[in-house]
Amino acid sequence: MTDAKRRARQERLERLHQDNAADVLSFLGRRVTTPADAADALSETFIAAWRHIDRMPADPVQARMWLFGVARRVASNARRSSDRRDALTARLGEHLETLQPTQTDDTTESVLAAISELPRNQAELIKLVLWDGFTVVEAASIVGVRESTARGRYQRARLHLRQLLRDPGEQDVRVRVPLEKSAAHVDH
Amino acid sequence: MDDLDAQIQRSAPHAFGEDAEAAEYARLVAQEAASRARPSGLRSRYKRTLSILGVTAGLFTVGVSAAAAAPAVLDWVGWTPEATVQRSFDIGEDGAVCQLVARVVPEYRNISTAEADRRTQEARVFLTEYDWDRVVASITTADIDAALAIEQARRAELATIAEVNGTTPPPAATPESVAGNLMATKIFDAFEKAGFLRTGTSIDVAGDCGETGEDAQ
Repeated sequence: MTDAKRRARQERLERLHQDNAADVLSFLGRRVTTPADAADALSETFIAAWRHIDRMPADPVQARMWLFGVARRVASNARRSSDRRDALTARLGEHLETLQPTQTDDTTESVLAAISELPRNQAELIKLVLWDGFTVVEAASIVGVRESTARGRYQRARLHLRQLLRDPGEQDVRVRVPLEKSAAHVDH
Repeated sequence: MDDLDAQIQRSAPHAFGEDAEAAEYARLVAQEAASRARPSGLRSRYKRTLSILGVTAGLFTVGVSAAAAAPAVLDWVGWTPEATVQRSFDIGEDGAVCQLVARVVPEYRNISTAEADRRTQEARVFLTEYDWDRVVASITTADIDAALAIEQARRAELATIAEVNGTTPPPAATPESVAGNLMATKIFDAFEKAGFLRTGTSIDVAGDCGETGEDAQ
């Protein structure tokens, strides 16, 4: 790669980070335990993206999905280190600690509990689509699975959640649903 | 969209990025990452070192079928592991398989580049040569049950605190998540005990546990 091309790619990555920094922070904040972890994970994500700059897709939309894919992997990593938080990241963590947390009610807690009972790959699709606002196709790109696989998982996840959140007094009617066929009709 | 979708959307934890000050900090963190990543004398030496060590370290696999499992793990984790550890557990309805990958990375803060590289190389040799198979083989079902009980109690306390504070409770602990964490902890502990987790180096461990077949991605 020529120096000019390399510089152009670096500038694209910097713009990608700047344009998506806030969204990546929100994304990470919903997947780690503490605000300080979110700040750390944000820094890790940007550094990991720089390490893998040669894998950044040329298409801007695909590049954005790639960046969230990097963030997702960072959030799922466990790291132990002697000294890794720099001053700026620490300040971000401290600021996040001061933000008012989301108020929860019984319904919210039931939904969160139900999501936590899903298989992890189904829960992640639900979060990507309904928390982070990605389409199923975009979510498939972020988690690195085929679109058809993502649609099937997403549909299964919604069926599971509907069952888990069903009114306990409701009659237990079991219906066998052809999952893949119904998944083909999901619109996203 | 139906009521279910709306319910799930309302359950989303707070979006930190919607706070203007947090968003500005996030952009500054991005700038700092860029300034650290742009080619410089330090960065060039770092990249050369990684490249040389990457060739000599290769991929180390441990456990039954680990070599076959490695490509999927590689695809999932996003970085090149220097050690892969796999272990099956008799937990849940059908048992579970846990795959962990690990690598050692240099950290150039509060230490000279040469010393960080030297320590990283030492730690990397330890990572690639140590008998991790034996380390994770020592985890028993009783260990998992005990750790699960502790984790469930801990999360119940956190859930109580979250209820009082009106914040999001933590997700439920599962035997699979506990088994994976036990494996990672064993690896971390062995590193610390051997004296390789010190200024200049850190270890990354990532993994996936309990999923098999088509859904395991």
